Amino acid sequence: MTAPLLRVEDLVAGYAPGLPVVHGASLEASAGEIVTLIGPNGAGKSTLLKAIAGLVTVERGSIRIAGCDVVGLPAHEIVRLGVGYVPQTGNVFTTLTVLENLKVGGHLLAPAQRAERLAQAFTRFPVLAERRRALARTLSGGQRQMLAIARALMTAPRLLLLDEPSAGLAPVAAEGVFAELRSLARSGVAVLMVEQRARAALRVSDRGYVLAEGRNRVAGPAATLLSDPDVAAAFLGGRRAA
Amino acid sequence: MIAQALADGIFTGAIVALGAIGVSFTLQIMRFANFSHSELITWGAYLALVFVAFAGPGTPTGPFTFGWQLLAAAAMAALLTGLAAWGVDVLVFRRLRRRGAHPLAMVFAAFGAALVMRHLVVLVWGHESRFYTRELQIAWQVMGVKVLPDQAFILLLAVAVVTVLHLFLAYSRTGMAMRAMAESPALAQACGIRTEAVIRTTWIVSGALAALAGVFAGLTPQLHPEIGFNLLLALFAAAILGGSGSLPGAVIGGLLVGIAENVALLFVNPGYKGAMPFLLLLLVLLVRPQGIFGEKGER
Repeated sequence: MTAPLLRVEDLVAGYAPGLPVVHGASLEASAGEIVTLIGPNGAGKSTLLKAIAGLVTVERGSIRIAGCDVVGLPAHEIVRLGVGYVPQTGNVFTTLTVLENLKVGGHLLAPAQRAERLAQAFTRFPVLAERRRALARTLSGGQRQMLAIARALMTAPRLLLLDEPSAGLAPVAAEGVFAELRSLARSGVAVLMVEQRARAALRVSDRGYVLAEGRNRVAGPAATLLSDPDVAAAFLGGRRAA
Repeated sequence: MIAQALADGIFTGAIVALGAIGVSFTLQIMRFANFSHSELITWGAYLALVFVAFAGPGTPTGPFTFGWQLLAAAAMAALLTGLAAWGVDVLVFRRLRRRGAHPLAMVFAAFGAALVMRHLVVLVWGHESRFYTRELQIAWQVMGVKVLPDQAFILLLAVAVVTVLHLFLAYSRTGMAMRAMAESPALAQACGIRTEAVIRTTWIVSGALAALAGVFAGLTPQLHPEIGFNLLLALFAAAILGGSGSLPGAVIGGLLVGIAENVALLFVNPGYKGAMPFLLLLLVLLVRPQGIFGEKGER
């Protein structure tokens, strides 16, 4: 087995010095797999993603992407290393059009390459092509999420971080997003997501981590987590049907 | 009478708008109220005076009181004031930003910067009024309204500058990055945008526009060290009236403020002129708290 693309070790991170939200979390994600982080609210899941994207202060521990330590690098440098990040809220520029959102997503690209990726985005998400001149705030929830993902894909990231990609979506739209992530993973992207819809997310994932109080508690193949009665009782809401 | 007041108001408004655009950018992109922006207007006016002192305002061309030399001086002043605005950022605001200063601390730093900047001008040029040119000009009569040729020229130039700025924001890579950052700095960073580079561009553009406002204000008819400071409250009224962060907003806001000041002169004592923008601001904010073109907060 090859070395994982992302390796986070013993990470302590938070919004203000001395007040960490993540207290020593470790995880890995490899090319071609979907890894889901679940856990109660306030467990530090979102903060962990932001730390990898370079948007919060890391106090201790390491984050390696393809062997390169990214702790302390500014967010725009981490983007260059092949990391795409889709935040949970405010994940599109609502005052910009669909086309402008994608162009901003491709800010780092040369014009020719940007045009090529734009064409790819519109092929992958035909609905965005239809609404390219529309302001992003006029999109439906599902379309907005597609735009957020398409925007992050403009730089062709090797690692895609998603914070609750199904939040606020109808079940059908959420399935659409998960199917899209599955197809991305098949193409070799490492996908790391945080999800509240734990069951649905784990069903499309290869592996999962349960994070609580800023540390990982349980880790394993997604199927194992789904059938683990303790995990089910504590973190999956008990019901099998979700 | 009304027509004359409107014409004068549009002219004042164009100058206010050029300054208000910068205030609006700072409010939206750097998220603080830059009370030293008015001093960039003063700096621009006096930096142009330096070039005029060397080259002269030029021989009056056509109906105007100046020649190409004054335009060249305005261009140089715009460039230098843009760089100076960035310089003030490096010296003052960037340091605070990096320490995560509260927006209120930024505002007070801006007040301090404004005092230093204004008194530097007094130190170098003194308190007395200065002129780019002492040429007199004959007003045109357009449908019963008196318009000075210089004013008409300035208005057209302001329209051209705002049009270029609009195209820059709408279509250029940097312009789009500025709009992206105005909405969400974190998401802009996640797109690979270097926020410090965007901030630098914002200062240079804002400073250049302020300098043009200063030259235009100084041309009609004189310069004095309070030339910017006297516009300060009008700038903020215009930026907030239009809805911060919106270019058309700042321009319309500027024009409305200019018109309100001048039309009010027909009805009230000139002493109340300065209060008019605020009356207008209050009325608009009661109906539209986000300003005329402002986006309702959505997060």
